[in-house]
Amino acid sequence: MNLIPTDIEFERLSASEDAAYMLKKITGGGSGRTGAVFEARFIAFCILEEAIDAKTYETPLADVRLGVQVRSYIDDFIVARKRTVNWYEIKSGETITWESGERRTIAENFVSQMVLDLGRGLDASYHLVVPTRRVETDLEASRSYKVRDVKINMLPNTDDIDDIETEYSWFPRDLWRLIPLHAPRRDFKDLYVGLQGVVLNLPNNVLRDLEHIAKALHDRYEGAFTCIHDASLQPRTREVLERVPGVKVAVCGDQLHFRCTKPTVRGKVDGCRIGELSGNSFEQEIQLRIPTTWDALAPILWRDYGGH
Amino acid sequence: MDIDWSEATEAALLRQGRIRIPAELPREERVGLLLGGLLREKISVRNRTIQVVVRAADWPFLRGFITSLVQSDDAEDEPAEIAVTCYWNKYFKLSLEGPLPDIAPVSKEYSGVEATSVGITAFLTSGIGEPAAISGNIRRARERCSSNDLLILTPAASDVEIEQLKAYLYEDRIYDAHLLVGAAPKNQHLVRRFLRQNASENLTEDTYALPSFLDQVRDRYREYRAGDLPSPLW
Repeated sequence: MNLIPTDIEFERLSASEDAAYMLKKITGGGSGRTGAVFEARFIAFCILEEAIDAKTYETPLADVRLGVQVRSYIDDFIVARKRTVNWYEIKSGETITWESGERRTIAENFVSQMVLDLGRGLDASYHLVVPTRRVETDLEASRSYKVRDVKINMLPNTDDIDDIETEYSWFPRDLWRLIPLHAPRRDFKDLYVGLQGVVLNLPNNVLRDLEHIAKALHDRYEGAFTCIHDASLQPRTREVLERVPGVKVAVCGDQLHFRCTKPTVRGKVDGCRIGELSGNSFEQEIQLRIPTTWDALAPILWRDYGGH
Repeated sequence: MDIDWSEATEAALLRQGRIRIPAELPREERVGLLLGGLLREKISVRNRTIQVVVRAADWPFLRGFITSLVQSDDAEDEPAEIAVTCYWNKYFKLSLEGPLPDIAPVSKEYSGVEATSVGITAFLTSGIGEPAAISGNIRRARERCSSNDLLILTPAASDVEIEQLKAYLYEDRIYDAHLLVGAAPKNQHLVRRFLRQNASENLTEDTYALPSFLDQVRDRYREYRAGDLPSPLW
């Protein structure tokens, strides 16, 4: 079954005035610059969380599907795993109440969505995302019994990783899984903002899986970031590399990261996708040349392997 | 962010001969020498540790810059230690197409600093047209090691670029930067005729040799300070 409700489902399963509203509603856009940025930040945050989870528990990236500006009552963002669905309404305003909204209030939209999902037999949960603790507390205090099942999530409206850490301490810690070997924290901010760039270019009202997003991230930034499962080096390559004094290597996604203590260098090999054509030519180079010193290894690490 | 202007770069580039810089040196090296001179005018380097932060694309300026730091009539005026931190960035101008800021992800990083704090951090750049690379790299360097004084040195900068840079530094929580510009905005176009801004990705082939070279420069300077070498220059 399609997770995005169809017109027929709106008509059959929603109250008639709700359905009439929905069928006329224009979805997507119109939330202004601040709204769009906060939405992108939250969605990028969720994608990172899902990508880290998928890596940790080794679940297929295709299992998680995401959609932005979906045509439904709660429309900002949807995360779906099989038939389990999370709906997100993302509000950047600092004066949001349950009664906010021009034609319909936030509370009304949540209730209509719950009724619709009940009729469709979906296992769904509902989230309202806000940018400050104060808004969260106010909403908690003023909610009516109808929206008692709506979870209120708070994400600081910032790109700064330290600010997010004050609320989610796991966030920077787990990002090591995506950029390893003592990367400076500032690198995580680039990844976070870069992912927002991908989010802003996702098509409206279409569900895409994490695999698609990982590919978009790789293609858009020419391999600067990756969030796919880790490939592995051929044992012989690893053996040669780690025999060079001070050198450590780690494969993260399809990228090869390295670190050396003398000289103090860290980084990744450009355009080298381990397990793909470019990765193989890199590994071949290492195995043929067998560098034993940093000076012999450096030119091989600095070459761009084309990213094929 | 405080800003200081100087006429030095224009003088060197446009009216060669009136300044005591050998005209036969490559242009980047001459500008590096001048920017080093600017730094010394602004701040005392005497017995302090200097961390020079640079993008790999701007390394041709580095030789002149370091030379001018160690050239002194009185050995007592010399810095205690010179260490370079170098970043290989890529640059993506996200700000051109929407509400997001630019990003400058790092593909490689070399750090010659061993201490956790230094006296002066000097960011040396050919231009400030890529503000995300400047603020991002300074924040990265700060994460590894703190500093008392932070200076950004560039041969030329336009007013628009300076405003942009301020915004990026503010976003990265860098409030104490001091910008030293070699040429006033009105003369920027003249300087740019002779000296272009290097894009982060515009690298020469041999930058792989930089980490070992910069380690040698640092170690050589240490030996010189210890009295084991007659000259600090390589």
